[in-house]
Amino acid sequence: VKADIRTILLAEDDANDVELTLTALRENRVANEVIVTRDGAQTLDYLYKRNGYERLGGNPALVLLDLKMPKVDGIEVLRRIKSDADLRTIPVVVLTSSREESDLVATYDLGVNAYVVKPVAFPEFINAVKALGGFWAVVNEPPPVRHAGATPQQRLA
Amino acid sequence: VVCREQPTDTNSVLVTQNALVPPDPAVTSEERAEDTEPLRLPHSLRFRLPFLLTTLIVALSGAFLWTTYIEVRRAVLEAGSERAEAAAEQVANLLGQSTARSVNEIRRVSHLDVIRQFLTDPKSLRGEAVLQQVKSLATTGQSTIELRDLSGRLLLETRGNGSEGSAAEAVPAPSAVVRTAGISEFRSVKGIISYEVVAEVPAADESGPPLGTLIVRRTLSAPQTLEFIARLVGTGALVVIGNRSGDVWTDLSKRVPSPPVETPTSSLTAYRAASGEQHLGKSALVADTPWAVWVGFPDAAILAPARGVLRRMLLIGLAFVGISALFGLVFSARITTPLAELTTASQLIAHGDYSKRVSTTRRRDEIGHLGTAFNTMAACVEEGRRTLEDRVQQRTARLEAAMQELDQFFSLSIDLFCIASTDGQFKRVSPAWEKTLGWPANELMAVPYLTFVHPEDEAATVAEARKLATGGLTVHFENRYRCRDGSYRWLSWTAAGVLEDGLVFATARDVTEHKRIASELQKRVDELNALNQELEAFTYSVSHDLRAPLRHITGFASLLDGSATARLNDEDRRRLGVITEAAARMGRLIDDLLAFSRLGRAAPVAQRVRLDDIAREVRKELAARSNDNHVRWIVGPLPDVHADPAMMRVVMMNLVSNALKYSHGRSTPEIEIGSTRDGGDSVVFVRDNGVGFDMQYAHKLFGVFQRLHGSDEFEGTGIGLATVRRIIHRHGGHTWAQGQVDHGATFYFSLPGTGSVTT
Repeated sequence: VKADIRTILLAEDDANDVELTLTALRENRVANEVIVTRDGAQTLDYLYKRNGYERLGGNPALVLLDLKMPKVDGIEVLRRIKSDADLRTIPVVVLTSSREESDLVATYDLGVNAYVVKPVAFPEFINAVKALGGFWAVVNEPPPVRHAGATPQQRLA
Repeated sequence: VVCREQPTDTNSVLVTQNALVPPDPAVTSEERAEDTEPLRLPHSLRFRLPFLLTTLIVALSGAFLWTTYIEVRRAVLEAGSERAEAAAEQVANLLGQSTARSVNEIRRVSHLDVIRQFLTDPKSLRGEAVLQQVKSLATTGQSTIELRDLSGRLLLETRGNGSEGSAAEAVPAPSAVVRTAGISEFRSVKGIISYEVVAEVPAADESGPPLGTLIVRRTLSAPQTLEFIARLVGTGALVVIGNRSGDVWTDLSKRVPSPPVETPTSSLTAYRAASGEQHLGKSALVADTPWAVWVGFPDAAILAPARGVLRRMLLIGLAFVGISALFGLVFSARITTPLAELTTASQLIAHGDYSKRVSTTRRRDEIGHLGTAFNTMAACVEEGRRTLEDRVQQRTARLEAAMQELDQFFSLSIDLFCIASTDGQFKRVSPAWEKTLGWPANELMAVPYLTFVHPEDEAATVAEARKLATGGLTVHFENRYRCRDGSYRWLSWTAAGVLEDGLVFATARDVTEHKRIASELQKRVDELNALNQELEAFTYSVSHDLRAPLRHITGFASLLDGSATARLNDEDRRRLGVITEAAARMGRLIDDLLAFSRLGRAAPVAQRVRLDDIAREVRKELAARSNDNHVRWIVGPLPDVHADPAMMRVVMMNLVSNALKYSHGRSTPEIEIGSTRDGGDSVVFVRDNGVGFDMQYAHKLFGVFQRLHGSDEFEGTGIGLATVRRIIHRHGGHTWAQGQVDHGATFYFSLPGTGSVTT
């Protein structure tokens, strides 16, 4: 793993979706380290480095956030991130199944960086993930790092 | 005569009604008592006018009479004075002459020698001789002649007519005898009045002292003298003679009180004679004697002419006064009789008899005018009253009719009408009360209405009643009233307090059922809201959880296709393709269904929408999507409507895409978008010349998932027209369709008419 390639945090409870998303990322040759958390609470634990998540590095380069998750839902996670002075600079992309207007309104109100509906057709999904990874993890210049790098607990690559 | 009437409006007539209807009995009796009080005589003009007139005339006549009488009396008294003076002068003259003769005689006798000789030497002569000489002196009646020497010693004395004896007694003492020559004063002795004539007897040589005194004493009682005087001054006159000094006066028959003797006498003096009769007269002095006479006439005799004049004038004056009193009576009667008639007529009018007229109108004076004016007034009053009475009757009839109508409303209304006093008692309740609560009216009005109010509502009711008692208004106040069967019913009140009457007018509506329904409705609404929330959660789940497996199906199918390509034959790949296609189709179904579901929850945001613009955009978009560029478009003018623009766009999109879809197989597809009007509603239609449909299935067209064609024939999810119908319904409009198999279809929707057709 290259030092300058930062991690992508994927918050997704559905194992199938995790697999498809990781496949799509891989197919699109996104080289970033991907950390997967399986519910909202775990996601927050990772971000706040608690309950066993002790990372050395800085904040992830991107959070791919599912909305419908057990324990703490995606909107609540987004609210915590965007109301925390240390975390709010992390780009957050909502990656979800629905186009519910209430979700759109709520997430944009909280300051989400992008909202992507997962397409049903797989090729389109591949394209969407490609575009996302390409833009946020490669093209986009992340905010300056203020903390030393973390040691990822879980690596899936 | 024109009776001018003040213009009156309804209100003033109604107000005047109070004045016209029979007034309060108490007031009337009081007024009548005032009317009928009789006019007291001293206050009556009928008495006062003649009385004043007569008094004036009496006063004037009296003054005139008195002045005249005084003048006449003065003249009469002056004449009487002159007469009395003349008579007195005459009597005095006569007496003077008589006494002068007596003095001359006695003086002659006293100079006789024989007297001297006798006095010188009484012894030388015989007494008889001397007496013979002096006898001539005793001329009248009872006279006594005395001869005395100087020392007063009586030397010789004669007595006339043989009455010497009595005379001697009457002779006073020698010392009292008057010695001077002349006439003495009268003297009264024992009722007999006498006087003396005295002369001195001189000495022979006339130079020596006198020798003695010769005295003739006479009594004054001579009927012939009286007769003489009466002849002189006339009968009826009173003549009295006496001493100037004041005492001893006589009327020649007896002694009388002395009259006033003044010197000089200027005016008449009054004197009461012995007979008691009053006389007026004058005095005169008798020359060379100490005597005076007073001659007077009776008052009556002197003043008779004046009194006669007075009497006659008094008679004339009385007649004059009588005539003037009579005239005054007649005159005042001519004034007061019509006035009395006017009074009577006025009283009659005051008591309501307006037909009375007075009869003095023919007179041409003020009273005649007054009578005419009075009659005019009475006529006007009568006519005005009749007019007003007519109006009042009309108004009363109308009021009664209105009251009856109100009463009808009062008793027919299912609302509970009541009038209550501010102290908490019903005064009147409508029949609806008994129908609603079961209490008869008399039981409701027997006790304070709070008795019927639910204990929990009592405080609020009392507060509301207090507000009403101060003239407030009550709207939508609700409380519970106890029914006769013990149950409670909710009443909703509208009430107003009328301060001046101390009353509250109120209507109550039984809202028990209403409240029950409302609460039931609220329950239903709550249930519905809960259902809606569940539905929302459901659709949320659908959108998230149903799509995920589809994605997984397509995703893994695709992965499988990629990783197992070498091992798959064509049939396997076709089947994988079917799986992917089916999943994709289900994805579209879910999307459409969610869109349809969202429509049910989102409220339309209405604004002015130009359907022309929307139709143009939709046509452009659909034309770009399909490859048919030989479609014949007929787009008529469309109205502007008041609607949610995004939803209108969905409607047009669905209808036009439908039309395109079902006319796709035609050689020249023809699509017409137009509008008509139905009453106030705007009607828009989309017509095509496509495959059409059988009208017996028309009712199924707008249902969810209802399709008239197989999906292999025409693609579609069966949501589009249901969405159209739902949107149009939410805008208050309708949708319907007409069609014929193979002859095209027309879909209509209407919107309530707030828009207008633009050309």
